[in-house]
Amino acid sequence: MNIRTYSIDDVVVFRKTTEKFGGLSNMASGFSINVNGIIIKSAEHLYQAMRFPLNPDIQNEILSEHSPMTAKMISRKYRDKYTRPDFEQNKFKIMKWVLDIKLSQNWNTFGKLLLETGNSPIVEYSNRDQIWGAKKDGDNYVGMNALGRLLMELREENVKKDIHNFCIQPLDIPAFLLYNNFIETICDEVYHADLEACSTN
Amino acid sequence: MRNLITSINQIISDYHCDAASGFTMGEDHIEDWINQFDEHDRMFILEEFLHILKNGMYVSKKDANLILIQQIERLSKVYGYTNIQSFLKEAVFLNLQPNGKSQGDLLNLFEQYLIKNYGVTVSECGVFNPRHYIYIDDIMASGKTILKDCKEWFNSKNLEKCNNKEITFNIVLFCKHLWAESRVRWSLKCSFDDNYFTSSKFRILSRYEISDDLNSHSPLLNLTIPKKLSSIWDVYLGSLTEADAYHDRAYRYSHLPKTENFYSSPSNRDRFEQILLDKGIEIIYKIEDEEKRKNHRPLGKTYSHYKTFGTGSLFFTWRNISNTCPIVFWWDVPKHNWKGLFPLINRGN
Repeated sequence: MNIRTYSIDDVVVFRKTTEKFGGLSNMASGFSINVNGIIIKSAEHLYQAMRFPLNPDIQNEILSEHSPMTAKMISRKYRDKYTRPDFEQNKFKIMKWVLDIKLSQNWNTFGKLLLETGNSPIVEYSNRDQIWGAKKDGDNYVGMNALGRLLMELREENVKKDIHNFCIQPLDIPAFLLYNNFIETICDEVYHADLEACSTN
Repeated sequence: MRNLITSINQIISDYHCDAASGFTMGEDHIEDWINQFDEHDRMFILEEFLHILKNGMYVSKKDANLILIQQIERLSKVYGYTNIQSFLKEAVFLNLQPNGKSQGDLLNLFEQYLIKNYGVTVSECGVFNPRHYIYIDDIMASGKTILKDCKEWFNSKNLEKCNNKEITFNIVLFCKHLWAESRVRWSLKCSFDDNYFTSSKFRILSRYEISDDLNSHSPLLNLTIPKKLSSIWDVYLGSLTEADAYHDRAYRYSHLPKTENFYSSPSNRDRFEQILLDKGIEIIYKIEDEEKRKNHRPLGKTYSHYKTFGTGSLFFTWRNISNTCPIVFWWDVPKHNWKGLFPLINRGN
């Protein structure tokens, strides 16, 4: 991904989870995710856990943490020593997969929020991270803005076209594991079907 | 063998002490039960069962009272109240289950404590400023009852009220299966399209946890879930023609649990689970009515669309046994020549 420049006046920007578009942040609560039957509190929790597929104890330490920010800090503690060796080359793919599930399982809330951004560029404002976000530079935001670009991709490809993917395919990368179990296709409709069966029993 | 029976009886002696059935737990009853198993297994089953019971898998009436008090005190602290009286003024105890079910009995038990210590009844709590709704029950095993009650309660505009006013919903239990907890939370989330049920405003507190989710981190598997030791078991699973869900959870993964902390040893786990499953399948095959047969499982009830051997709970209370326990513990049909250790109330065969 290359560096981009966005005019401050044109963009939908988010920085804190409490802002109007704070739900777009991976740190936002209220968008739970379910992978292999494990309920995960935020997109940040899941993304950080996926750094350590061969270390279920670290994954558990991250996923047991209530706050997404603390989960990220725990991840940072282990990052140098235990991050999967191919993480750098796969991190955008992993993030896209996380966001796909977030949207699939929170279609009416996350999808609605994405729709409300209209046609504006989406930017995560960060003065510290110009890979996932963009920093202020005069009247512009400048950075790779990878998260914002992935969110725009979701908005254009799924939300605007009203394509709700109930099933999200696993990534074709080695050791795609959560707690030592392979992550297969994740279908939110399975949970719905389960629920239906429950109500008739 | 007599010593083992005496020790077991000392733990479970108050089973059904309140029931109108007139049943009394005693050493003779335990002996009758164990004598239904093959002779060479009897000592082993008693030894292992006693080992399990010593892990706190039986809640006596005295324990129950104490657990309820501790859990309510815990909630009071979680929500930052400095004393329990202030919490009780804002806590509403729900009574959603039909008469004769566990909830009413547990509320009656708890009310005696409330009256004695605080001079209030259950219905007087939280009248003017309800902020915390509390649903008491004994065990969440398959989660079916709690799911149904929650769906009905939240359906009647209560979710809107809870979300708008920062109101909490708290399920207080003696025992919960962790797999059921995540399914209940997620089912409610999907059903209402609301993350309230995965937030800290929706709590499920339990004194004892059955760690049974095979996909979770290092599950303890403190229940009955056999690893694949016999191909005959596949034949039974194959007979569940209408069940199509969770077939991958019928058997324990052979590398689990990572450390054996529940049974007395890994080999004793294998043997105990094998005996309970074999005997359970034997009993199931005696049910003539096909419809009834498919609604039961050798290791205890579960959803009929689950292609598993059953829920496998190993948890008992003085009040009643859950039908999610292996059926050797509760099946009682004279023509099937089997009498469970813990007779069951409010259940049909």
